[in-house]
Amino acid sequence: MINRFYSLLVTGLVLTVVLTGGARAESDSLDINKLIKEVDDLYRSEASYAELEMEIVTPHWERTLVMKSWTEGMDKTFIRITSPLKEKGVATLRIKNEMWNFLPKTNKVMKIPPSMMMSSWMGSDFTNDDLVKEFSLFEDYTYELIKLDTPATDLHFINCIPREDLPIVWGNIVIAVTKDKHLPVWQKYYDEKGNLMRVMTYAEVKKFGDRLIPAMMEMVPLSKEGHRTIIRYIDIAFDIEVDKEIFSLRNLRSMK
Amino acid sequence: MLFKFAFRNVFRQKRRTLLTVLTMFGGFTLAALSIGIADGSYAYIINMFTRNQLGHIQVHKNDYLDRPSLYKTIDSYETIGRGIIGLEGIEAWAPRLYSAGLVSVGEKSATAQIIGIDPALENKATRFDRKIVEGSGLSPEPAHEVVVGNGLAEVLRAKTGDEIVIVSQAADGSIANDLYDIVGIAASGDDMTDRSAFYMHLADAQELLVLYGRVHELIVIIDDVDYVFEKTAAIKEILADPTLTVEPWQEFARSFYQAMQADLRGNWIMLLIVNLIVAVGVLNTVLMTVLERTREYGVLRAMGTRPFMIFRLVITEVLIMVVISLIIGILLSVAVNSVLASSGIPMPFKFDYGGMTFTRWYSEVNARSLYIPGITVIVVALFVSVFPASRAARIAPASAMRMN
Amino acid sequence: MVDSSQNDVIVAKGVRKVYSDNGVPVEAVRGIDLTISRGEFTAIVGPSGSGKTTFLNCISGLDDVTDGDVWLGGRHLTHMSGRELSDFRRDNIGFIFQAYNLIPVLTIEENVEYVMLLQGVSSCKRHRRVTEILEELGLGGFADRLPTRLSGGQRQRVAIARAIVSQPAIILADEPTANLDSQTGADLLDLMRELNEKRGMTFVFSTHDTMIMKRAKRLVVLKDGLIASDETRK
Ligand SMILES: Nc1ncnc2c1ncn2[C@@H]1O[C@H](COP(=O)(O)OP(=O)(O)OP(=O)(O)O)[C@@H](O)[C@H]1O
Ligand SMILES: [Mg+2]
Repeated sequence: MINRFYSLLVTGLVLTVVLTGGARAESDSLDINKLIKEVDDLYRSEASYAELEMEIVTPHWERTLVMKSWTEGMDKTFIRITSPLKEKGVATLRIKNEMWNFLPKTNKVMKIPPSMMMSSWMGSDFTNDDLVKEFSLFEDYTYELIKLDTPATDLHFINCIPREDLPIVWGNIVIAVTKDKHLPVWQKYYDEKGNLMRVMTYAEVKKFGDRLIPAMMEMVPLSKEGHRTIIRYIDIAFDIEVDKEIFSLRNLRSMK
Repeated sequence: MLFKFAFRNVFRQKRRTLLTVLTMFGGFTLAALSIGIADGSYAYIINMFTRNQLGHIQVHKNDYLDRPSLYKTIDSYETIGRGIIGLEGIEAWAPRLYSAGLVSVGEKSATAQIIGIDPALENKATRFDRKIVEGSGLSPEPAHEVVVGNGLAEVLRAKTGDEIVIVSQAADGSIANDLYDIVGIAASGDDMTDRSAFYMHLADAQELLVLYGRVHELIVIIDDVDYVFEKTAAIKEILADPTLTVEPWQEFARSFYQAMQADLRGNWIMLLIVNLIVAVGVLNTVLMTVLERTREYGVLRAMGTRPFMIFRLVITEVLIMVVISLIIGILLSVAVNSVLASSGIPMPFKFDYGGMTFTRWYSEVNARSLYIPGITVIVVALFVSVFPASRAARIAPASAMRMN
Repeated sequence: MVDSSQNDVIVAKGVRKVYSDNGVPVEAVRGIDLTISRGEFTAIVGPSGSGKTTFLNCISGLDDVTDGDVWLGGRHLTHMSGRELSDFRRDNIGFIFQAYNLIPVLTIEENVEYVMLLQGVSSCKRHRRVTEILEELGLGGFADRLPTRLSGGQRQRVAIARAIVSQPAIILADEPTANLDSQTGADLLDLMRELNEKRGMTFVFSTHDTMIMKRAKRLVVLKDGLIASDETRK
């Protein structure tokens, strides 16, 4: 009866868009399959370590979280928050579709129940689900080059439509990629009815090791006015050796 | 004389009169009891809802109930509360803070509703202390204590003495998380709330959610529910704040109120059926009587009785039966209603209304339950008697002369 | 008042009454002229179905006539409204029925005082009159009894008391003795004769009873709705 708001944000903790990958040398003649593969692999690698900042803006507050993240393949992610002080030590471990949070204040490890997968991750505009489900444009979508009515002449535009029977919530995604280095500039996500739902913008192209990637990504959900989330890589190392122990509940509990 | 005449006529056909009186008495009593029980049960349910849970009047930030948000808060609520309690006819008030979060006890976790309350004020307003079914209530001062709804406790396999972790998002965007002691289990009677909510001290909740000095809701209990609209207006006036909404229970529990109104309309159908029975019974009796006394009315007419007096004679006979029926009907229904008002009757089945489960009917002795069926019985009886009575009045005086 | 003198209490001129018996017209009275003067003691006789009751109804305003005119005490009945007729009967005519027709739920006293009650006579006056009349008719001890506790003769006495109590000008009696044994009938007839002589009340009977015929001063014989003979004796 007193139906108070259940819909209120509930915090799950898992790192997300731990987008791993590496820079790619550009090729001259346009092969669309190759281009999509390049975009797919941009942040991917066998294993990675990154330091990043996440800035969350809402009409009510703004805050910046600083965190370290480790990944191994597509299945394992570990994130530990280092700043601000209140959240220092908060950590998330993801193995395949399962997620656990560690809260130092209560010294508890909590498994994220399935009912919370669509909830916001850390108060950001990403959901837990966003972080767990990784889809490949190359394998899970069909794509084609399209022309858009814009003055930008240095961009390729690609329309991606998910293959049937996949649990993908989008109707289609339109990607803008630079013609010279094949780096993403923006991605627009549409629902099945063709309404624009989110816009992801890429900027601050930097070289980390031998990969050239946009270090900054901004996500704007169109359903929530005044909300946006910005992820900025401070440092990222691809294809490194990562201790297997990192992706364990024991490590989650340790305050390192 | 007319009355004496009519009165004796009434007792001429004792069986028929008895049947007619029983019909009217039965119809009246049935309607009186059903209205009494409907009113009584609703008063009881309303009391359960308002007195025990929602309060008679609620104050929110505008639009809070339609689109709740952590940020739609009432500021300086203590000043407002003091202002409200200073008004005449206000019994109690209590502030509340709401949010939702992930809770876990041991290995079990669930999403749950956080209700921050002021234990002292809440005890006074909604007798929160009486809802504790296990353990104890919250301490008057914040002590990192939590009382869990019994349904939620079951889901979490929680008992008093357990530790509970609460994770939510604070108003400043930070992760709200802390460890509390479960000191008690509560059963409010509202299944939905009991399955999903837990209670903590308002100050603890404000600290957890970083909402110092703010609440989402004020509930007000008034002395006499009948004045709820007046008191709502009075509170609106002293608040004089266009960003706050003050509503009586009829509005904030609109769907419940409307369901109740619809049910009460169902009662009118019942009344209609009762009246139909009364109508048929009375019509039959009066028609038979008139038919039987054709010659007698003819004699009265021959001797110079005016037609209208015959009409009055018949109507008076009906009225006498009505009065007798109503007197015993009123005596019986007042007696039964007052017994049911205090003790109630167990329902043959469990009855869910707005998430609460009720197992007993209650009745109420009120004027409505008497005058509504009373007036309808009188009106119906008179209405159906008009036709036979005017037929009696038109009987030809010549029929007095003829043997049948 | 046409040619009815002050003394002619009942004047019937060309009275016809046609009933409809399931659509078939039945002419019960086929044109009767009759004048009855104050103080007469008249018996209307004739075979069954000759129209006696019908004629009495017509001249008392209990039934309306199909044709013809009726004056009672100088008033033209044919033109009166139902309510006027009702009040007229109350004040001018006393009825005695074959079947007594007392009101079973009223006591003897109440039955007798009923007409006075309609007339608005005060209760003490009513009581005095009723007591008087019951005493006179030998019903002294029965005032508070109900009619069912009386014999047929006693009931018809009460009916007579009821008919004469407000001293109407005319008493109409339809076979008043038919339900009584001959002795009782004779006694009642003597009583009526006495009232007629002592008080000058006009009596009109319909009857088969030879005893009445013998005592009547005037004998009107009906046959098939017409007057067959009309003789006055002295
Ligand atoms: N209401 C009526 N409808 C139709 N016909 C009637 C009605 N009343 C009387 N009659 C007919 O009128 C005729 C005269 O009837 P009425 O009763 O006047 O006779 P009566 O002389 O009084 O007979 P009785 O001696 O048997 O009383 C009869 O043929 C009778 O059948
Ligand atoms: Mg006859």
